[in-house]
Amino acid sequence: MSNITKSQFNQALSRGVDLSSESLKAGLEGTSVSVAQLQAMDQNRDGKLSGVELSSAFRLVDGFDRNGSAYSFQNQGEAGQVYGALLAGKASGPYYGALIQKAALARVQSDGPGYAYDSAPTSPYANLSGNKVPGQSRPSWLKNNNKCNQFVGDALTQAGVKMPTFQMADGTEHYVNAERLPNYRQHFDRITDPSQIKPGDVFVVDYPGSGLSTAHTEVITGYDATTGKLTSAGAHSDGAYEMDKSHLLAGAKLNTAGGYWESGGNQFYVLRPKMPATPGLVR
Amino acid sequence: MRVFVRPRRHRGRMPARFVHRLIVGVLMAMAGPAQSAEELPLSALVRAADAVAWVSVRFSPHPRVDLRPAWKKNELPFTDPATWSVLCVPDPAELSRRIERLPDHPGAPEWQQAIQAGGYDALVFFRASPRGLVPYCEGEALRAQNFGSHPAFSSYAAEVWRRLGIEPPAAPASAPARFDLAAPPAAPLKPPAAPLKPPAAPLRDPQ
Repeated sequence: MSNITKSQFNQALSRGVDLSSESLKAGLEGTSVSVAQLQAMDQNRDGKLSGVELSSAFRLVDGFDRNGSAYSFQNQGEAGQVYGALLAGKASGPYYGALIQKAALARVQSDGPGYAYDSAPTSPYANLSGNKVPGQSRPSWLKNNNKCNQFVGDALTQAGVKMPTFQMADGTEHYVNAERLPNYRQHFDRITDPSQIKPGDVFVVDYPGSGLSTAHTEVITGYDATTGKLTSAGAHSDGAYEMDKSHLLAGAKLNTAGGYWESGGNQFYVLRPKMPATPGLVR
Repeated sequence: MRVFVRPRRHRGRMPARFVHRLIVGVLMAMAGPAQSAEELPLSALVRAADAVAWVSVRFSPHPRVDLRPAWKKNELPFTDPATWSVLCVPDPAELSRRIERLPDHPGAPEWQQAIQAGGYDALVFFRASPRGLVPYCEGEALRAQNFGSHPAFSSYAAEVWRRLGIEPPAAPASAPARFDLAAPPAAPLKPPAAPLKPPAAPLRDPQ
């Protein structure tokens, strides 16, 4: 059974816990913790447990645990149940998914062939290397390269959402590789409940057994939790287009500690972009 | 003369954080270059394919591409090799780029050998497009397991025939010695999905 550290606890609940959440109330049933107890921790009376108030919540959960550490608890028993309830009551941040889905499909329509291996697409990201005229230039370094991360980055950028980048020696930027995206916790929340998957979320499938640092990423354009049908738009060797990717999640098992699904030795992450490109911008 | 004296707390030991970063760096380097590329398993390639063909690419003395269908699902024509993606059927410029960008990639020995040998032979999947049959692959093509020179080519080809449910077709007559025939599968096979066609004429004449 996995240990949850205080850091992981705070990270997972970084947006706070909505004390009016029905999911929180339902999750607490059968435990010795009441919503009223949590409300007593809400020092600023904003209806949420957030910031320093989470320390009180952590101490409460840790109190059920016997792992001997004041900085972690085992995710089982009453500690696990109360933690699960807090997660279920997680406050949601601004949702950019509709804009991202729209941008992804618009890029497929306007420049799908540009994302083929042999081609170079335009990009809305102003500081992308070689992007002299954003939206018109086709940076030559993108030719003869796999561009799944480029497509996702361009879709997020077009939607006004920040895609992680790294800086080149000349100060321009490239989008980070697909494999690294799940590590960017400030840019993405991880979705581990299939019923919460929404259009505009980004999936990353990592192939750790391949012996290479290889992964693939696309923008989810639709998901039906009842049937498991999942569609996504992404860059492939012959261009960017929408496809049925239901097989990626079908039969996959959730690795709770890792925050991903496992299938056939591959790891499947669902990430929800949450950082606006312009700080403070809420659409 | 200035003498640097290491602070007492580090004397004889490297800081744990430095060691950790060193280990992570070494492990990341061993993992190979990070690539953002979809990798299709053989099952997906076979499922989506409309044809499988031997493709012989020669860079010298004259550029030439020979194609011999090994299996075809329909009557669609093969498209002009000049229009093919260099991911699936790399030309010398693409092979050189890969060697420069990804020198530690598992496929690098095959890329290098292809350049030194002046060409390569490969088993390539094709699928239908509005123009006809086009090569079909994703990032797994970089591994060059479908190159006749790859050490695991025989088992790769055997798996392709097994999944297609056909007898292993003969290799092209002009194949290098390493382009071995796949061993016949042990399990009984279904009847061929489509009759084998006679070798196609070269699609690009020597210049």
